[in-house]
Amino acid sequence: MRFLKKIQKSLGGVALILLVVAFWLVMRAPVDFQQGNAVWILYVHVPSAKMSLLFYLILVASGIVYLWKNNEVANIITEAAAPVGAAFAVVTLLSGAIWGKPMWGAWWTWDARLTSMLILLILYVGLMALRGAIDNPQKAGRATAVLAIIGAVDLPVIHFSVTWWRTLHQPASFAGAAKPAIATPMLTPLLMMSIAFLVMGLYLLTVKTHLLSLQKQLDAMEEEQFSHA
Amino acid sequence: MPDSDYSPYVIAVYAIALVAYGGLAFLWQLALRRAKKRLDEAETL
Repeated sequence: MRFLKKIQKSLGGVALILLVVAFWLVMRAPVDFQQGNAVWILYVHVPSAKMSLLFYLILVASGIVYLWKNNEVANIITEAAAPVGAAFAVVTLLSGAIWGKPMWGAWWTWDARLTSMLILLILYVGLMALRGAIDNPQKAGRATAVLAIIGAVDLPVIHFSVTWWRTLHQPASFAGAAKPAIATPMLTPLLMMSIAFLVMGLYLLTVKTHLLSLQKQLDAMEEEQFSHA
Repeated sequence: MPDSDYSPYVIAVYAIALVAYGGLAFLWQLALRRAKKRLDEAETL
């Protein structure tokens, strides 16, 4: 627990510094020749989208570990990752809609990328609802882990939707080892913001994990007191 | 260079991100502090 506390504090501090640096870089980034200053929205939208996918992967990985090893820490991480990923998914969809209105002339369209992203948010909400609906923590953990694994089919659909189907959404600006499709003055703040969001997401994950483990301790104590009474 | 200024849209997005992520961090830190306090109280009883 002390180790978790230390990591949590360090991640919080580093995230704050990185966010300030990333924001400063965004302010200095050039405006796009077609989008104007609306391009600055993408410095929030793209990192949020990447993190919403990454946190779902974390959720699935911890779910697998829980099903395989029956590890309680993995169960708590699965529970903690859902609201963090959901927050990233909400910001992705809202920022996309706000960018879409001036650029596409519509807040929303049933495009493959947008729809699969909405499904991811519904999955996150569904996982939280399912866990909340089952009283037994072990059963809830197993059920959410299974649903998370089944839902993982949405991840490649989101990632490849822009290449598999003819979509309004543009292809990835940067992905893996491929050469980035955007200029360096725009790529630098985007990468910095992505790193800042990653550290911030990990910070949120550790805070929520810590909170859930304390709540479980409190529940156990209350149960013990109740059984003695 | 486009003539349009999209600053209200940009500000709205950064405000949403600040409220969502900052709000979550603040609320969970608050809940963490309360849980710690309750745990300390329960242990001293």
